Amino acid sequence: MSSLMTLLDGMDGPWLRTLGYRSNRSWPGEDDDLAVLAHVVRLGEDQNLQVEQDFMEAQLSFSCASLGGTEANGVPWVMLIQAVPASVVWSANAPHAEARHANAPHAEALWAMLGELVAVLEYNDEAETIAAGELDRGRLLGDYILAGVDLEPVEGWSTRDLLRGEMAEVAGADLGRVVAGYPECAFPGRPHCCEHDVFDDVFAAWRRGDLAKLDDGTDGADQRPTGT
Amino acid sequence: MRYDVRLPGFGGAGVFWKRAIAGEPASLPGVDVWLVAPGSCVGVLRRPVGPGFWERLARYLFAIAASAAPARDVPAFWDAASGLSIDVGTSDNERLGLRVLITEDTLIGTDDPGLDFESSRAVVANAAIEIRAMLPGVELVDFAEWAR
Repeated sequence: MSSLMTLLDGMDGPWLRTLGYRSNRSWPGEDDDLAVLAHVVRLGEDQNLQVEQDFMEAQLSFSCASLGGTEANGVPWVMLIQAVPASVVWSANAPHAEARHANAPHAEALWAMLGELVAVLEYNDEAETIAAGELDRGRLLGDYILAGVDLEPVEGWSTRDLLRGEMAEVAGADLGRVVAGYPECAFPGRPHCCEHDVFDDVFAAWRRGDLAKLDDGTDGADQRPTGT
Repeated sequence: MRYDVRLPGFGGAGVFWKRAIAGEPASLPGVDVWLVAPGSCVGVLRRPVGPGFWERLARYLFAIAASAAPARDVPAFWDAASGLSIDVGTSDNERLGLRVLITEDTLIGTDDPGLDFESSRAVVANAAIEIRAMLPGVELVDFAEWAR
């Protein structure tokens, strides 16, 4: 089970409703030291998923992706994923950073992202963090190995693409098919409106509601994350 | 922080209210208002409020959430004591574009704290319901009748 799926594992029927990521941000050499932190937040029973997710994601300086859904009882949840190169945070916080985490620039980045989340949760006292996990490159690659995927092509992916692959899996796509279709098309040989990006192809199919149909020939009605 | 009324919107913007004691004149009912956007949070604290402030605010929010054309059909909210005004700029079936302004005096100045943002009708209605929850004896049906 991938790291993202594991974070959702303790929830009761985590039906996926919304999905988004930011592709317009990059740092030079980010893959060398990119720190990634994911949190699953359960929202208030009557709170609006789309608005709360958009509000929180926009408030987070390092937000790179988010997922949202509802549990079986209708309570909404969001998964907020932040990413920042450790060196960027280290430079910004110096010289104070050195005193706190002299040998752990990565920890400084994680603290910075945690601080962002704590700040945004100040605006919502009904929101409750129910799971959290660090998703560094090594761990993401390990997820692909555990999924039985041929690692050779995946090793060349950026950390962001590894993360987007796991998001595609949460959406219900077969990870092996995503890897096989990288980089351009998730559903070669099947009629679909191709996005010319394997991840966008999956996300667009998920939004249309025909991901399952394209992925394995079922009717596409069930949008529940697989693997739980 | 525990806010009494939350009105978050898209794009990280929103307005949050909390009951307070007014700073001037002292010991009268007041309100703290936070205007939030990515990278900024402006708090206007301990403003006095006029009579029936919360009930009028709830009725206004519920009315604009329910109205098909709130910019045309619902008069803007204005509370002279606090300087808080809210009006609707744009709307569609799901969303409302809100303009919130807090004036220091009776004359509107260019430096007054303000916020333009978009939220959903459901969230605006929920803000009205949150106000109702702290106003004993006020039923939501009253708001609906007022909105017709």
